[in-house]
Amino acid sequence: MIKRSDRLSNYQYSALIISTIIGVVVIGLPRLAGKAAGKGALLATFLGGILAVIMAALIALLGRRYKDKTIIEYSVILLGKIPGKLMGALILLYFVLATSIILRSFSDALKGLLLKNTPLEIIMITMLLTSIYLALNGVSTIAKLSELFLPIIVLSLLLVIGLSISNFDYIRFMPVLTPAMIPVVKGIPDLMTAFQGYEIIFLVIPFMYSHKKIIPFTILGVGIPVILYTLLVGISVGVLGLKAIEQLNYPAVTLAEKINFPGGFAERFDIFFVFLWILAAFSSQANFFYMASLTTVRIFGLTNYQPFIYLLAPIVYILAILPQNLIEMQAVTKYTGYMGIGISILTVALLLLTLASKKGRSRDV
Amino acid sequence: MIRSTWFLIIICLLICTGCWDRKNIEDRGYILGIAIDAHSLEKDAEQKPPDKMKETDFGRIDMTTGKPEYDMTVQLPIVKKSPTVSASGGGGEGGGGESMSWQITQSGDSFLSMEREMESRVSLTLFYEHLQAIIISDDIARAGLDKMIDFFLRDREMRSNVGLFVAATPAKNLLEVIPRVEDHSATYLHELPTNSERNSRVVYKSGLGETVICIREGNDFVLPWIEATKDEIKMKGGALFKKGKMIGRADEVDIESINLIRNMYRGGVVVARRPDDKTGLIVMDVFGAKTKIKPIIQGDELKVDVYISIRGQYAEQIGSGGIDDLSDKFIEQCERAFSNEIEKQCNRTIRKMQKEYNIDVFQLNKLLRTQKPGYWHEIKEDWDRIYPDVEINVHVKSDVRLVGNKK
Repeated sequence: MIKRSDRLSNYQYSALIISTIIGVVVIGLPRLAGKAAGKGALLATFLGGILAVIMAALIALLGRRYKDKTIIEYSVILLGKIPGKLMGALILLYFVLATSIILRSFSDALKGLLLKNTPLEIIMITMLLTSIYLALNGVSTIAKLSELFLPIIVLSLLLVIGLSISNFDYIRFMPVLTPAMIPVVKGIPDLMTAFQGYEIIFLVIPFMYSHKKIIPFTILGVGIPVILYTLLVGISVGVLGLKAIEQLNYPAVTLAEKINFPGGFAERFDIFFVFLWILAAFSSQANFFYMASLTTVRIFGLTNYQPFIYLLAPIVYILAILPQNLIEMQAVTKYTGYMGIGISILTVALLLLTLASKKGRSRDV
Repeated sequence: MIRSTWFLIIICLLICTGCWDRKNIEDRGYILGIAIDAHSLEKDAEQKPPDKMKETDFGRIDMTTGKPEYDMTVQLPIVKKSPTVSASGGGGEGGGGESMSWQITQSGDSFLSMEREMESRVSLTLFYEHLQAIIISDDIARAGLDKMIDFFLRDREMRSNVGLFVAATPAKNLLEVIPRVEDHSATYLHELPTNSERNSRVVYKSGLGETVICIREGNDFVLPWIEATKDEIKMKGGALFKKGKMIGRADEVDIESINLIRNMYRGGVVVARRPDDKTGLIVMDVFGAKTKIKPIIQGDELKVDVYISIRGQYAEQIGSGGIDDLSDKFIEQCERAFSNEIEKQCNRTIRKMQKEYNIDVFQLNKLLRTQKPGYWHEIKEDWDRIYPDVEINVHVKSDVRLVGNKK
């Protein structure tokens, strides 16, 4: 069913997860953390990330049991035909919504940051067409592109974090280290939404060469974004202060803006950061788009997903253009994020429970 | 498959080429400096003939929301007159006391409307990314910096390291300065704080970003106060800001003490009386200082210990009779003299800030918030009342490392 050339190596698998997780949210992440958890921003980011790692590991554990199947097929096996398909439809809905939200928030940010006069629709259509082009080529191409972009994305984040250290004032940081636990716990769900994208594990496991080291590579794939995001939130608090990160729309860009090279021979690092961020946003958007089309195909039990890419594109575009302004957009993003978390927790819990009960029954017999 | 790929490529080519946001560099008006004054342009009702029109007549704005509040003056470089262009163009003009920039004043009540109104007088699109300095006049600063600063934060073109300065009204006079060395007064102003490594009496680290963080966190802060002649600008002490409003001025010695106590001292000069000859002087060229502040709570009383250690070189002596040999003992005496001098100076500033202005310019609130969070939580409402009576003890340790070329 799957061509030999469509297989992924372990590193490609990790790169795929990383580039799906690190996306649009990066430039607004400190705001998200500050708003959700206040003084506990750093801790909440880290704990949210750890939860995401655990979720991802559980998904991989499930996937390892059904090596040549995606979630769509094995949920049918485990839950029965109708509930399994329903779950698949729910997942599909989430993927489509997530794709359109990424598309829209990317375009909004790009319009605000760089292209003031370019119509929003043009940015969106360009982005969508490019990701259609990528998604048409299948999982191995996407994985190779992720592998290619990975060092650029990680380095750009590390560069912003590293160069900001000279602006870092630990005093701004001090009360953050002794947070009350309640805001931290309250902030965790919001921050888990920042790590969305690990759901790709539901779908890519059947494409792997070998499934032996799947758990460590899953942890690697989700762990790197966790570390980068935690560092980013930490440095933003240290450089900008808690109050500022809550008020700024794109705190990570402001962070990059504040970087001054010694001697002032280069300024406006934020422009470079935004350029590199476009790569991250693009790869995560394309991956989500691919996941959406793959899910559709699997639900209908077909093999060729390419027509569905063309079918989904207008739907994604229309959903993306619907929110009227930034505030509406932020609300939609939040609730889709919750929905994503809800779906993945529900799926994993349900499937693991069914699996356990089936195992128990077979032991009885 | 192949056909659809070609189709996509062609569409991408059509869409991705060209740019809505293209703007040629010669069409942009690079604003170098902004001066903000309270509104003062008078309104003349009658229409004047063109030869009687003055620049101030253009500066007025017709508005619907009431009276104008501010006068914004921006400085645009006249690129044709800049020395690099005239050198290549063979023109011998420029320099010689002739201004190379254009100051445009516009009145209005909001900055964006003023900017857009200005664009009806300027053929260029105003562009802020190269902004060097914002000068705020005395009366605007006293009315509240926090009131009017929003535009400069919200606008995407603003950078956070733009320098903020305060000057006596009218602030636009500062932009009218025709500097002797630099081309434009705003760049001149931007370069001035670079000497803070050698002269500790200037306020530095006072960019837009830093200041806004202070306003947001509710800290008190200092901005440089500047004064100007026709062709010169001087940073003369600082303007003290409490809760976003200017409440007074600090002289240069105060600024030095504030820099020392806030651990922002990067180098400067300390002068003390000569231990062996009371009419003479000894001078230390300081190359570094480190300050640690420790809040101590005894019962209900707050005590703050400031430990300053400075190191430098014995740079100069004034007075009759040279010292033949700089003995250990003499250097020790000198160190003590320097320490005493700094202590005296800091105590004077602390008293002034506590009693006269009641302004927490040393940002002790930040310190308490971070180091004694429990205590801070109890007293933060009363901090204004408590602060003037807090006992602040300064302990200085100076260390003479080098003695220069002579022994």
